[in-house]
Amino acid sequence: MKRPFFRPSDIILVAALLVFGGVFIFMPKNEGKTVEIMADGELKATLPLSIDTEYAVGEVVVVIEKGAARIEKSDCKDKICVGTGKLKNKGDTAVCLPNKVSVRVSGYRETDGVTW
Amino acid sequence: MKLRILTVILSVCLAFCSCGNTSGYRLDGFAMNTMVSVTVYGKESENNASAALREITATENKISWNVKSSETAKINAAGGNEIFAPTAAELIGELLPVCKATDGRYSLTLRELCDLWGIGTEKADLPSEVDISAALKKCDCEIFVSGDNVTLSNPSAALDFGSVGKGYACDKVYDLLKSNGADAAVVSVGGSILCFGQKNGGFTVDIATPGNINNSLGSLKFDTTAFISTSGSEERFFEKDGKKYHHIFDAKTGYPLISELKSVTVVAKSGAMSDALSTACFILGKEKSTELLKSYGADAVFVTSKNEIFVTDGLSDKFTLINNDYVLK
Repeated sequence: MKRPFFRPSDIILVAALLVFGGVFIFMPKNEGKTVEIMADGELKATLPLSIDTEYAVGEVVVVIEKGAARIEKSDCKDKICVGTGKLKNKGDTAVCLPNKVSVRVSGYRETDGVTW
Repeated sequence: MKLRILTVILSVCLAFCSCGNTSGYRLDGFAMNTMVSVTVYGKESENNASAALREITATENKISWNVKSSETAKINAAGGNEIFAPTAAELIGELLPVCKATDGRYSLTLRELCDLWGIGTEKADLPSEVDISAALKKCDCEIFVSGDNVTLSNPSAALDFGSVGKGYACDKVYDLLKSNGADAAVVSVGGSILCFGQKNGGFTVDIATPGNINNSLGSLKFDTTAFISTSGSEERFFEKDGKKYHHIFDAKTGYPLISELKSVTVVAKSGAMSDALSTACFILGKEKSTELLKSYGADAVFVTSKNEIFVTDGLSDKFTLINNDYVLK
């Protein structure tokens, strides 16, 4: 018996591949990118990077604007946290150690840790 | 035909499974006066992560001079008498050879000197020479270990594990994860890092650019368990009359150590050792560190004040430069 070029089951296979392949290919690159704001060991807020907003933890003010987060203001001495500037990519982190506050972007590529 | 449908279903399942096990369970906290982060992969990851955080605090309570009930506080209050302190005894036993290798310039009894300078606190200031030599006399001390007991030769000296506590906490978490059978984990106690076990894609640990914790100098890649620590002069300091005074002291002079280095990152077989060796290597400088590192099977990334980076052989295939203000030699 001659084997048909397409069997019904092949159609299922192709359809399944298209559907699942499409899900991965068309998933937006910054899908689910959020900003995690931690203070004194506790997660204070998880905010989407896509919505402009302002969030204050004590004297530290975090601003999210045009898809980037930054520490806008802090009462600490060194202002390293403010100087860090815009956080856009996953793993980008600004830390204000005097205030025990960290702001970190969850997204695609990230490191496991930072030694300093 | 049924077989084919089954294959499709199976392969789709597999695709999703392989996505699932790449994300770990992360807990952040604050201990040992710094940021702590634990990410555990595989089964029981939530339980293991919270147990790991508890272990770090438990370790702090055992060895911090700052905690009244700690072994260290008891030794410091003993007025030169022998104290039963099994954890401190074990740590001191490991560390004394490293202190000796620096000719005593790295010391575990500089508490008085740290208090006098107050670097990292609001009251940081340049002390008078008289005060420095008085503090140095109080810091001049031999530590004796006999079994589980510790004695200080100088009753006015005070033991301080500040230079190794974070790494030692990583050691304790390593023991815990190992006995709980965790697959993989990453633990950060401040800048001291433990990469535990094995996970998809290995581990990536960035070295911060000296003076800016938020900027990466370069990146280290590990396939399996590693302990990583950094010591440097740009981490904690104060400025007076245009001069920088940092927090790593020379026990011989009582002043912040004058070094050709901005920072040293050490990868060693334990966390206490990576912490201790990074301080010792910062004190010794690049050339003199080679032998010490070799004797502990450890490797290092040296960053000089001329923005040059030197990497020892064991790390040359693991290090990638990120910050182009620096030159890899």
